[in-house]
Amino acid sequence: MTTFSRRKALALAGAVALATGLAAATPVLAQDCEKVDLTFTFWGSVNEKNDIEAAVKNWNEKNPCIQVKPMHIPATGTNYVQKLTTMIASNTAPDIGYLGESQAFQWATEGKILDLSPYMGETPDQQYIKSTIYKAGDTLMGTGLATGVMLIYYNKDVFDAAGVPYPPAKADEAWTWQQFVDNAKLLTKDRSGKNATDPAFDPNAIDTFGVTLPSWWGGWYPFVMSNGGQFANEDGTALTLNSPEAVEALQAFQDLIYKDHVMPNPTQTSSLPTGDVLMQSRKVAMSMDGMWRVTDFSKLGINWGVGVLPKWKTAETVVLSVPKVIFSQTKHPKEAYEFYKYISDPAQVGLFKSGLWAPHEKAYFTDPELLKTWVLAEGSAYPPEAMDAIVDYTLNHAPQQAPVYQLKNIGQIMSEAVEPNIQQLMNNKATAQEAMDKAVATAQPMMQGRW
Amino acid sequence: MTNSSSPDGVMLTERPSGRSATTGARARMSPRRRSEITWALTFVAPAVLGFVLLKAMPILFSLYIAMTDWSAVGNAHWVGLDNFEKMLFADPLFWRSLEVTAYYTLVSVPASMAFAFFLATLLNQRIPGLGIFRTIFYIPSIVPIIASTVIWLWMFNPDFGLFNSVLGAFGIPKMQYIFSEEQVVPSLVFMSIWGVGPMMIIFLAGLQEVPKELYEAADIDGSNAWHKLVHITLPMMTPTILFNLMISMVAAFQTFVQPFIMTNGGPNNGSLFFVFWIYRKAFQDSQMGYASALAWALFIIISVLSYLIFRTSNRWVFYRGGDN
Amino acid sequence: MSAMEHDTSIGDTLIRNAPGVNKRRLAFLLCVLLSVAMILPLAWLARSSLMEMGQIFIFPPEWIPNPFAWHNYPDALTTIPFFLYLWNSALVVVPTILGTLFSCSLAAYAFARLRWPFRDQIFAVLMATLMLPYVITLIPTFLIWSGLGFVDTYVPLIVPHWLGTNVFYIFLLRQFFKALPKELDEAATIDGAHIVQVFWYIVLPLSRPALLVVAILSGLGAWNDFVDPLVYINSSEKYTVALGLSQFVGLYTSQWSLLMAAATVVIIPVIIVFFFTQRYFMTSITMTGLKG
Repeated sequence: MTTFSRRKALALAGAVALATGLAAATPVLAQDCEKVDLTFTFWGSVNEKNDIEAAVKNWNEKNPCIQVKPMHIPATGTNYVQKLTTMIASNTAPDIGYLGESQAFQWATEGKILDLSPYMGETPDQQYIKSTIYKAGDTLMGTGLATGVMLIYYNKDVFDAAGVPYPPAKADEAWTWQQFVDNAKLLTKDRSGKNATDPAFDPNAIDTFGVTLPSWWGGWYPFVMSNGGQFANEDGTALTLNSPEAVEALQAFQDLIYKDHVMPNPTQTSSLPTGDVLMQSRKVAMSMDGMWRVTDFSKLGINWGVGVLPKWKTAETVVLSVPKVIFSQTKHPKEAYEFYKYISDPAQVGLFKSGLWAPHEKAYFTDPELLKTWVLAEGSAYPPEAMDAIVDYTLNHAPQQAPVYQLKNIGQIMSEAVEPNIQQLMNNKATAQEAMDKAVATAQPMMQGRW
Repeated sequence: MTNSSSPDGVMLTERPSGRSATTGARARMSPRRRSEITWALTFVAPAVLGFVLLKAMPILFSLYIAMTDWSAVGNAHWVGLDNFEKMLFADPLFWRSLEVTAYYTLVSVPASMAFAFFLATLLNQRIPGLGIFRTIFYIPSIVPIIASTVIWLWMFNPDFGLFNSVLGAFGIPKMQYIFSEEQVVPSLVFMSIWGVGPMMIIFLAGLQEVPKELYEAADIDGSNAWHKLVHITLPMMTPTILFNLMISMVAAFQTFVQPFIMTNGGPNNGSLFFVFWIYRKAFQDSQMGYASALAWALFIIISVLSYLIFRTSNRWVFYRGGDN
Repeated sequence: MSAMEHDTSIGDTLIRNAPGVNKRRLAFLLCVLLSVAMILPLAWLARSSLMEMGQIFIFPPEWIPNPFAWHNYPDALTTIPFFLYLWNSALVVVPTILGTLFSCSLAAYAFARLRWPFRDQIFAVLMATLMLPYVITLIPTFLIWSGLGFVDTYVPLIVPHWLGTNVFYIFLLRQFFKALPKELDEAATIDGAHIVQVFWYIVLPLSRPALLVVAILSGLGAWNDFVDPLVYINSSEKYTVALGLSQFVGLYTSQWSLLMAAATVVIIPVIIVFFFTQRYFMTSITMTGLKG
């Protein structure tokens, strides 16, 4: 506090000196460099905020010449984008910040995001995981903040009680969809204790569900891909979610709820904050979710584990990330890039070790020393099988980028064409074929090609 | 200004007649009248300044934006009336969100007004614990919106929520509330009724102003409660009713937080409220131009409706002050 | 009931009052029932604030926390700098109330009781801004404040209220002012009182209830607003309570118990303040000359 105010006083004195034309005559005593101020915007829960702010404080102490002001923006709905939009529109953009994917791509084409090719080189995919490199046209926006792969979490006690083997952690041993459904049925129990294979099972009084899958695209798109389906065609002029492969996977998804009775319908789950709480209270046996939930599960005090997703044709998952960008309005791109690297460094930010973020550099998934900065760190939140179900899975079994990387206007396509029809599907108001035919047709006028 | 007005007025009145009509009118203006105008202008000056700076300028700016393809972060290109054309002829969601919003307004405005009026009449009785009841009925509207939406989210939850567990006790089957395309708007109306506190207070203030003699006279005539309500209370309350009607209509048309926090416009766009949709266009899809056009459409719709209400209000609103 | 009313000629005090008493009993009963219904969501809030996360999501729902998670309260108040936010909110709310009372009562008086050219037209134009969706003005207004260098200060949150931009309250006060007997100020004017004197000594005192309503409503509006602070405040040490609360709702994880605990803490002082002001507020209504 004292050093800060002294520095401030010095800065003020400097400003006064400059104003009176005496700058040249006044020696700078405290610093041998010109101080640079950067603003960094981010979102996240209070815990994330505290952790990021601690990392920034640490940076500021080590780098007296590059002072970063962390600006946390509570992210309810699209608050964050709204705030960033107003800041950019008024030429007060931050220097560095998280940014939602659809905005990142769009703003990059508007020239609002700094092209990082000069800093990151021509072949960033050698160094970084493909799914976390963001490129819009010629602009290399950089990488994501971190990565997070979609996984299965499970409650070991519930599995043991039902005598069902745990979901495999190795992608090569992934359950087929049919195995997955069969096991989920054995895990689903009604209030009188009968499981879903029992003819007397009461689907209207289910006490423990076998599984929950999220209803946002991360919950169903990996299965579409695994079955050989695609989100859109090659040139991005049409959605292809009504292809036989996609429809088969999505119909099976709907059947989990209404035919197999192993999954709660979305109205039963969507208002619940987290699947981990459901699992803690033994309402579900398995929950598909992002790797970032490791931090929540590790705090529950339950006997849990992680496994890979079931497969159709290939064992595949999807890696999610959040673009971290430098805004082109910055006056200090070089310094901003220094901080840019710092804030995704597992050695500096505790969120990697605590199971919220996984790294985005390949070396962190292969180098035993670097693995010790997060998954194998002392007191890390990860279970032992994470080396397979997270490390190997992320590096070797997420070959395709998520739809958001592929299509222009993805925000509108998702919210106006895909999501309402997925909701119809999940609410049993339409079959997969009907819902996806409608989604494809609705999206048609919104299609603007690929990036 | 103030000092100069009075001698100026004197000077004007001393001018010989035979000038143009306007000057003549000014000439005949008494000092008192001129002073009234000067003070009136001084009094409205802050509000007019606020209007010009913080309303008119932004409105004109947004009208311009509505004629462009501005994304809020890039450059704007003039597209004329394209945005309006797209809205009317090429965007099914425009009609969908209009339908959702109109449906909600049509149900929630009368429902919440009736309920607020009912509460106000209850609280206008001399009953014990009046202060406590007033406070209790008002509290819901002071709960921070983040908290109240979360509470309702839980109460509406078909499995863990309060409503279904209460209904279940009476053997009523589970309802889906905000998780069903059909029930989402009625559920949100129900939620809006919970927050009628401010409206109730305004009604209550109006009720307390109804002269007691009117009721006493009616008592002497042997009128029953219904008669008094229809022939005394309601007519005397018409200015308050007009006020609450306007305010709640505008508020209903601008419903935003519920879809923003609770439903995200779903399921299947069943709660795609207009302002929420504008917001999504502006900030999620970066279509600031189109969003401004939508906002103007809403502005026009609300203005026309308000105008119609005001036009008819002469026939049913009764001012005791009798100004003009 | 009606039969009894016809019997009032008997003159027995007890019987004469009977219908009123019954009516009041019915009203009281209804008030109790409705109070229970209105308070239910808040009771839900309170009980959730005392529960561990796991217990909140049990079916069938349980009413009594087990165990009582009292630690949610200190946790909530220390996870965010709650008392700093409280102070910040006060810094916004108090000037907001004063500004609203100042600008809106002056304008409302001019619109209600003074005669001047284009009065009704200007009033109609001001009222039209009520119909204006917030999003329409958001960006341009932000550009104005940003151009003036007031982003990350409370100026954009407060100054608009000193400029009567909340025309809602102008409308409300105008309705009240118009309802005051015109003879009052006419008499005063004939006695030689100045317009400012009439406003200050006659109209304002008679309008105390309306001013109180405006003060309470605008204060609560500023207290609960999180959209404007979100847009204009950058530094988290300048957050207001309403904005600070939204920090509990994260992107992936939400600390519901803490949110509920903090929300409870926010509501309780407001309930107390309202409980006491409403008494004064209602008394002041009966004390005005409006009744006779």
